[in-house]
Amino acid sequence: MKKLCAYLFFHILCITGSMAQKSFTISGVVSELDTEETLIGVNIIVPELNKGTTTNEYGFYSITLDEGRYTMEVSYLGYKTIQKQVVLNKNTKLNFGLETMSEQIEEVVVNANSSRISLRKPEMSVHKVKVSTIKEMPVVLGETDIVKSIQLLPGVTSAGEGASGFNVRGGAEDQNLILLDEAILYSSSHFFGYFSIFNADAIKNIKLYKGGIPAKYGGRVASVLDIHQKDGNKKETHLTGGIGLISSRLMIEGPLKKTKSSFLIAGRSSYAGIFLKLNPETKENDLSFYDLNAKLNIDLNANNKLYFSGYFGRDAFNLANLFINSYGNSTFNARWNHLFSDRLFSNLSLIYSEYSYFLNLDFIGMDWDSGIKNFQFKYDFKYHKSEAFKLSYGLSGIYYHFNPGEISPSKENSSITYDKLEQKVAYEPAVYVEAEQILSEKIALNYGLRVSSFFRMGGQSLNSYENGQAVVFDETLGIYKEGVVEGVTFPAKNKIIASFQGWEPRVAISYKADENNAFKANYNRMFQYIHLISNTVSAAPLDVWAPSGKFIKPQISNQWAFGYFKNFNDQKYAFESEVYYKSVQNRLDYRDGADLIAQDNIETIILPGKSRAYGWEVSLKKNEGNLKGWISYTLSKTELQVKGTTPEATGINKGAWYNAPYDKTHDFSLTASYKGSEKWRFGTNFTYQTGRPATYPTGQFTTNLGGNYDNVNENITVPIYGNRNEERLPAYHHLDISATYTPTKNSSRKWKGEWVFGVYNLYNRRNAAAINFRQNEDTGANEAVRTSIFGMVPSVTYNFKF
Amino acid sequence: MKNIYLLIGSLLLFSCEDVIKVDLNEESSRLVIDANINWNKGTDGKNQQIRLTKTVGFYDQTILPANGATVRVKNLNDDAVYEFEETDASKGLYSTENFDPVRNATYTLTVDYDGATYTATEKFVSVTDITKDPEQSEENFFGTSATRVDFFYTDPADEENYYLSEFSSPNAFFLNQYRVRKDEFTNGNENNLFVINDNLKKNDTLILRLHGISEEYHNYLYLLLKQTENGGPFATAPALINGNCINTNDPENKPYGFFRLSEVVEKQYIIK
Repeated sequence: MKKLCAYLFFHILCITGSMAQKSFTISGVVSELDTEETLIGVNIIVPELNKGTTTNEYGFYSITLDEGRYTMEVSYLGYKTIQKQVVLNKNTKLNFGLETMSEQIEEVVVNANSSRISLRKPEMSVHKVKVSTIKEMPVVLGETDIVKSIQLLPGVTSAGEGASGFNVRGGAEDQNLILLDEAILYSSSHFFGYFSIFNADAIKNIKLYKGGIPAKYGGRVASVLDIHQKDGNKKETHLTGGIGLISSRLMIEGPLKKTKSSFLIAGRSSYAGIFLKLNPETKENDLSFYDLNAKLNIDLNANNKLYFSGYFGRDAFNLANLFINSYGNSTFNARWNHLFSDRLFSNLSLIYSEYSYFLNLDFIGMDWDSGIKNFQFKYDFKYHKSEAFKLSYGLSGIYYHFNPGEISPSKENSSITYDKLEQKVAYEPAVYVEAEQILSEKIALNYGLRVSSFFRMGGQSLNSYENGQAVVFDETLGIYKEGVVEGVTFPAKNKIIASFQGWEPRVAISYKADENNAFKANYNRMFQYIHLISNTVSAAPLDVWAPSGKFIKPQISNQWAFGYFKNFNDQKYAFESEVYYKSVQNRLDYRDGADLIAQDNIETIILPGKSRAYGWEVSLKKNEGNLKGWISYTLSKTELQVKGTTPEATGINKGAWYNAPYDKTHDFSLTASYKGSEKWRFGTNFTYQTGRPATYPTGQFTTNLGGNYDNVNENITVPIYGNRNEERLPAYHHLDISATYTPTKNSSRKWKGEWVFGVYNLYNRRNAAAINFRQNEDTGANEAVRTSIFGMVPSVTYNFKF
Repeated sequence: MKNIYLLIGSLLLFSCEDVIKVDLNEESSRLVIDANINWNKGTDGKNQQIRLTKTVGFYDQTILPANGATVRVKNLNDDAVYEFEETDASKGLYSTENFDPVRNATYTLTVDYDGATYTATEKFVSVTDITKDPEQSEENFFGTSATRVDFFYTDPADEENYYLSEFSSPNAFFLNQYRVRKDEFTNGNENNLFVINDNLKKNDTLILRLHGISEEYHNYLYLLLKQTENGGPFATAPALINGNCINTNDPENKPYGFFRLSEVVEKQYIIK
């Protein structure tokens, strides 16, 4: 209740505050001229005052100035800059339509941010990548991949090819908050990580926060990947699509009522099984994926807009009906943009999000269902008090339902008994307030606070353990074991069985030394209340999420970052360098031999630890000209530590710091695009990463399982593994190229097409996805076997727009 | 259009495996205790063997015997002691001909070797019967036909049960297939255990041996079997496999292997 009062107080303060001002406000929406698609992050500058602002996620801007005559300069890379004279003597609504710079399907733009503003904003550790840039990057099999493209940014890596998700500044995969039109996604990969779930045609904007995370975001400790879908063309109906080697895409967008409402429906589907059938070793499998994106937006009037959007994606896997597997995300949300005044923007969101996993094992007659779903209510406000002071505030409430597994017989004579693991329910409410303040010509500040809570509800059985220990260390055998259950309680559904509260301060400051140089610093604390229970190198589709509670504490991160930013050569080049230090408390690791599948008592398999990560990131970007691109390098270290709970307990690696599975010492990437002519454009990527940490055997023994020691068939060779993650796989690197051909006859035709030719891993490097240590089936000798996924892979894709 | 796909497709190279040289650190050699006490239903279970070997480097193919040890098993319920004599030094085998198996009795193993004493304690675990006759069927995997044979047993409802199943065939060559099972989701039900193999031909003999095992051995073997097929991005972190044997003189220098006592039920099936 206190929180609610504080929140209302802020609200009232802002409205009354606005009335006391003498100056006037210009506000409106900036969109693309041809399609009326709103544009995010457009710069609106008043050169006379050297002041400006940018549009928000909904294309809205608001700027308050003293009475007078001004020039409004509206600029966005890839679009023609508009200049407009304005006489400001009353509050004014002014919408802008920007014209695209070229006739091609989409222009290549590396960095959308005009440096003039970005140097003065405290925002750092943030990357914006335009979809058009991503579309031109050479990728495996020509499948445009948003997740793979962000891995080219400094501080972002992954476990390798065929591994799901991504790692930001030494964060684990489940520590990234992935938002698609504000809905939480619980997984970002298809095909166990070969491809990402985002259909680039339907995506408008991508923003990755590695640090300095604004107070409006919370719930994950490493990063926020904020993705917005397109609204759809408000003027004309268009078809966009592409035919690739793996999948085809088709999107239809258009107005329902011209300039007032629009819709978008986009689908993508793989060609079932072809990918696997090409490989003789896997040709007996069938594997496919598909995505459906849909959006509807309605402008009720100048002050009210409604948005509805949804996503549905699935991976499907069937092995002769003996093994059926399907999983994926689905989201739906409804949003209402409302302008309380020219200066007070609000957005109300109702969001549903779900990840579900289904497995049928016919040969043992078992069905398996698991998943997580959440309902979220969000109300966000942004008050533009003046050019020098803006206030964001809002509240959010999430209801979670966790289904760790439901097992049922799939046929009549099945030996399986129906069982449902404990269903878990939790609430995560949060309030936040954050100010953006320009203190002087040189210094700007962002400061805010998020207060989050987590309430784990009853309605499930709850174990209590002897001495309160869910995991006990057996000193004689030197192993961890399940704790001894002392009692079982069944708290009522409406009873809170555990609660947590997180105070999450966020601070960022920038100092603009001169026109071209700036220093910035930030600090943020984040709380994460839900955890992905996964003990594999890369998260697997069947991994389940678990809420914090009596035995699992929330993860808490503290991150500090400091950066230097420089523009030179008339702002054609941008140089960025940042250092960071991040620590995470209560990071979970797993005891040896933990069985995660169908585990009802997760507390009996986990060992709480902590992690620390530090690094130096540097990047150089060229923003303009025929040749554009960036070079980035990251030097970093990420370690985990799990100490024993008693002096005798060993923890992991005897309680010493050890390499996190995603620790990459060096990470270098280069990405460039070159416009050769109107017809031809070229792109290239080069990536070099230190091999990921791995555990290698230090010996072996032969053991007999049957008891007939003379029967060699009963002997099994067992590798003895050394300390966890002490070794490393060989370095990972590859060079990719692409060429895009746009026939010139396009410009006069309605049908616009382009061919994208690409070669992934040009010099056919056999990057080790894994090194397995095993016995050769023919010779019986032990050997190290390298599994590499993609050799040189050529591709061709045809994209069209009509 | 399809032909274009095939053409492009044939140029593609996907996931492939090759053997590479990886230099490995080597830890000092330790004792390995293979103490599998099996009591086949319908036999007296008097003849028992225990094997003692030593760990070797990962690439080393030899099985190094541990010779000159004193091996004793004691029934804690009646204090009977069974001495195991070294019978085959080249293989590290120690045997007795007068063992007396008792269901649910607790036994300890003591091994004195190279100045150290190793011990382990374990219960003798019984097993249910295989009552029903096996069933044979054909599975077709995209045109390749394989023989499937299902064996059945009924899990006792009043206790937690853990099983080790072992499929072998003296005719159709394949390495023995080991699987561990628990009755968590199948308590009290009729369970099936099956083999799908395209090497099995008419008149081949297929043998199932079902062992009753303890929860500790189940967990140990589950991990061990997983470890031997370790690898890939979805593999679990490799872990040290800790058996139930300890070194009483130097706990850090723990032996590998397990002391297990199982009742075993065997069922043979001739492929039709």
